[in-house]
Amino acid sequence: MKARPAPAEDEARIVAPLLDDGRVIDWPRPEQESWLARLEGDLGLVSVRRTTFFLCVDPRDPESQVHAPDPDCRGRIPFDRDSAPSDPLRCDACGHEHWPRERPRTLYPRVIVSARLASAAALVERGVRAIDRRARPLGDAPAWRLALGRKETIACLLDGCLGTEFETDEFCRAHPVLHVVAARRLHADRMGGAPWIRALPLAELVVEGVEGLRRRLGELAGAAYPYAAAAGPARVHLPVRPEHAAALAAVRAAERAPGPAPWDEQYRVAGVAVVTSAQPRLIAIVRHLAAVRAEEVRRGRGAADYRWLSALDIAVALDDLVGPLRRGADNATNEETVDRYIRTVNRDAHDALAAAGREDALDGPLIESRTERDEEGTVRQYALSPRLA
Amino acid sequence: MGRTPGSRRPDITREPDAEFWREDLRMGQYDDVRSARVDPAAFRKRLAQRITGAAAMKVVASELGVRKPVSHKDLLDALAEEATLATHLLLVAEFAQFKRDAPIADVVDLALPEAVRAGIRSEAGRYDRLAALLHLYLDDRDWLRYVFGLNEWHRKGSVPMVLAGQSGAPFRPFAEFVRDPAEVEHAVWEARKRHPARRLTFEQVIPRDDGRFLLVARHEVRRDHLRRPDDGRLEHGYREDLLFLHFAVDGTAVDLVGEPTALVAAVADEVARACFRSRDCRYVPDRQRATDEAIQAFLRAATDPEDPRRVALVEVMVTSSPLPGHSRLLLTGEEPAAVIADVLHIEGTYGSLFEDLDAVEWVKVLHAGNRWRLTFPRPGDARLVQYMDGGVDKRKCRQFEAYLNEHFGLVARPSDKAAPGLPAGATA
Ligand SMILES: [Zn+2]
Ligand SMILES: [Zn+2]
Ligand SMILES: [Zn+2]
Ligand SMILES: [Zn+2]
Repeated sequence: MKARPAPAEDEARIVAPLLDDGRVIDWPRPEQESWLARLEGDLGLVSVRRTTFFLCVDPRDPESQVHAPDPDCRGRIPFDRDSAPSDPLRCDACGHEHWPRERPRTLYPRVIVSARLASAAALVERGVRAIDRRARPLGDAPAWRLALGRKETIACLLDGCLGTEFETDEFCRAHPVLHVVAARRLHADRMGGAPWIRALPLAELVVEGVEGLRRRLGELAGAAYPYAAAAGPARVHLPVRPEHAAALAAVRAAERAPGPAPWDEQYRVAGVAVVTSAQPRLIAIVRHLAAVRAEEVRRGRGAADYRWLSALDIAVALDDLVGPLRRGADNATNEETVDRYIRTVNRDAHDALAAAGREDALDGPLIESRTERDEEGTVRQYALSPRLA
Repeated sequence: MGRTPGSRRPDITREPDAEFWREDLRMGQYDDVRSARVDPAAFRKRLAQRITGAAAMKVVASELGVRKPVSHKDLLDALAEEATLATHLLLVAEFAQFKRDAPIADVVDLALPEAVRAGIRSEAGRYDRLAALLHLYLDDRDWLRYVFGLNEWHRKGSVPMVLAGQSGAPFRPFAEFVRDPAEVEHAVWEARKRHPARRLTFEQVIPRDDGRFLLVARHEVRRDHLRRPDDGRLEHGYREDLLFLHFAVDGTAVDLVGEPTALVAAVADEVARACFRSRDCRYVPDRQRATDEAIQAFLRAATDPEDPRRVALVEVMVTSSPLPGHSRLLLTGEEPAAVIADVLHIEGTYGSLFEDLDAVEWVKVLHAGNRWRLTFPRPGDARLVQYMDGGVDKRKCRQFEAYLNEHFGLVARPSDKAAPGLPAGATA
C-alpha cells in the first residue's frame, strides 16, 4: 500500500528550490510566489530579483516567427525595459538579433533568488532557543549545544560550519549533531547514509518549524552515541572537500562587495595613477614595498643597500595587511600568487604610463626582481624600482 | 560621391528626393510615407508615433520657426499642416528605426559641433537617436549615407588582415591614396575584372575618428526573388550587400567586412598593389599568437570573484570534462557568480576545466555588458585568441580587445573562420 505523502513534504518540495542560491525561476507559479513572499519578507532567507524575458520565437508574437532563422529556437532572452540598452539583443541560442523596443515583444516574468546564509543561521538559532532558552553557542560558528529533556544535543547550520570540527566524521560519530543544510545540492551526500550523520534540509525546517526541529533532535537524543568507529557501516558520504568552502567563500566575497569598485585607491608615479585596481592586495603590495623603501631612506641607506623582500616575506606582510591569501582553484602557493600579483602590478603600471605618454618616468618595471641563492637554492626577491624616491 | 558632407542643407520646401531615400538609404517606406498624407488623420497619428522626445521636438520647433514654448501636441499639429517638411522629418524618423547607437554616435562626433551634441546627449552619455539624425539630416543629408554604411559595418563580423609582400614605400602616402575616389574606383574595377561574375561598385569612403578610412563598396550578390519594399510583391532582382575595408592609416593592415571574404580581400589587394606599385602585395590573415599560460591566467581571473579585473565567465563548453565520464559539458548562466561557483566546485572536486585548452570549445565572458564568445584555436603550432564580433558594434570590439591586451597581454582578434583560403578547421 502506498502512503500518501504528508502535506508538509509537498510544501518542502515547493520550498526547497526557492532557497537555492542563484536559482532562476521563469513563470513562477502562484504557490511559488506566495512562498517567495514569505521567504524574502518574513524570514529574510533569500533576496529576490525580478526581471523579465521574452522568447526568441514566440507564437504570441507572430513577427518573431517570420524573422526567425531557426523557427524552433527555444532561446529566452533577458530584457528589462527600464535598464536594457537601445541596441539590439542577441539570442544566445541561435544568434538572432532582436529589437524589443522597435518591435515590442511579449514579456514574461523571471525571478532570481540569492540565498542569505546569515538569516538561515538566525532561523536555526531561533528554533534552538525556542526549544531550550539556555542553549549555548559553540564558538563563532552557527552551532549551539542545547538540552532536550536530560540529553544534550548539538544543532548547527552546516553551510556556516565548513572547515570546523562540527562537520567532521569523527565529531559526528561521537556527538549527537543535527546538520541543518541550506545548500542542499552541495551537501546531498549528508542526506541519508550513515546513522550518525543527521541532516535537516532548510526547506523542511521552514515548513515544519520548531516542531520539526524538536522531532529530529528528539530522534538524535534517543540514538546510541557515540558510534564506535568499527561498528558503523562503511562511510557513505563523500570526503569533506575544503574546496567547497573556498568556492562558497569566493561567492560570498563577491556578494559582500556589490557595486562599483573603489577605483579611487591609487598609487601614482609621475602623477599617473599606475595601480588603480580594486584589488586591495595589489595596492597593499606596492604600499608595503614603498613603506619598506621609506624606512630604508629614513635610515640613510643608499640604493645599493636597499632591502629586497622575498615572495614569502610579502605574503606574510599581506596576511597582516589584508588578510590571508585565498588559495584559488589553481592551487597556487602563496609565493606563486604573490609572483602573479607582481606581474600584474608591473603590467598595469607599464600600460598606465604608456597610455599617459610618460614611459620616461620609469625605465624598468615598477617592482624589480632579482634571483638570489640561499641555503635551499634560489629565491626570487623584490624591491620597488630604485628610481622611485 | 567622393564629397565629404557638411553644411549642405536639404531643400525642405521641395518633396524629398526619391532616389536618395529609396536607392541610397534603402528606404522602402519612401512611397508609403508620402502616400500616407492622403489620410490626414492617419498621417498625424504616424507623426505622433515616430517623432517623440524633447530633443527631437526642439528640432521640430526650430524648423517651424516656433520660439515660445508650445506643447508637443500643438507642435505636431503645426507640423502636420506643413506636409512637405513633415514628410522630410518623418522619413528621418523611419530611418532611425532599427539603427544602432554606435553608427549614429560615430557620425555625430564627426559632423556636429559640441554645442549641438550637448543638447542631444543623455545623462548616460548616449545621443538621442532621432534628434541626432534630424540634426545630421538638416545639416547635410549625406551624413545619413554615412550612418547607413556604418550601421551595416558595425553589425557585421570582421576579418583582420595584415599586408604581406610589399617592398619599399608607397608611391603616394596611403592615407592620401585611399581618399582619392579615382584611385579607389580603379582598384575596385581591377578586383571586379578578376571576379567577372560579381557586380561590384565603389560606394564611398568614410573617414573614421581614429584617422583611418573605411572604404565601402556595393556588391550585388546573386539573382534572387526579392520582396518589393513598397508593396511587398516578389520580383526578380539582385540581392545586394555592402563590403567594407577598414584600412590602417599606412595600409599595412585592414579589417574586412562582407561576404565572400575572398572578394573583399581581392579589393583590398588591388588597393595595396596600386598604392605600393607591387603585384606581390596581398593581405594575409592577422594571427597573433598567445601563450597557454596567458590564456589560463585570463581564465583564472574570469573565474575569480575576488579578481579586480572586471571580466566574468558566464559560459564554458568543454569537449571532455573532468567529471568521471569525461562527457562533453556546457556550463552556462546569466549570473556570473552562479557560473563561477559551479566552475570552482567542479574544479575543486574533479579537476581543472581549463588545463587542456584544446578541450575548451569556447567560453563566454561578460565584459562591459556584452557576452563575448572566445575560442582558443591552434592551427599549426600557434595558439590564437579569437572572439565572435558579429552583432557587437566595432567601438565595443576595440574596447574589448584593448582590455584583454592591457590586462592579460592577450591579442584577441575577431574569429577568422571566414578568412580567405582558410576553411573552418584548417591548419596554417
Ligand atoms: Zn527578426
Ligand atoms: Zn534564438
Ligand atoms: Zn590594468
Ligand atoms: Zn522566379
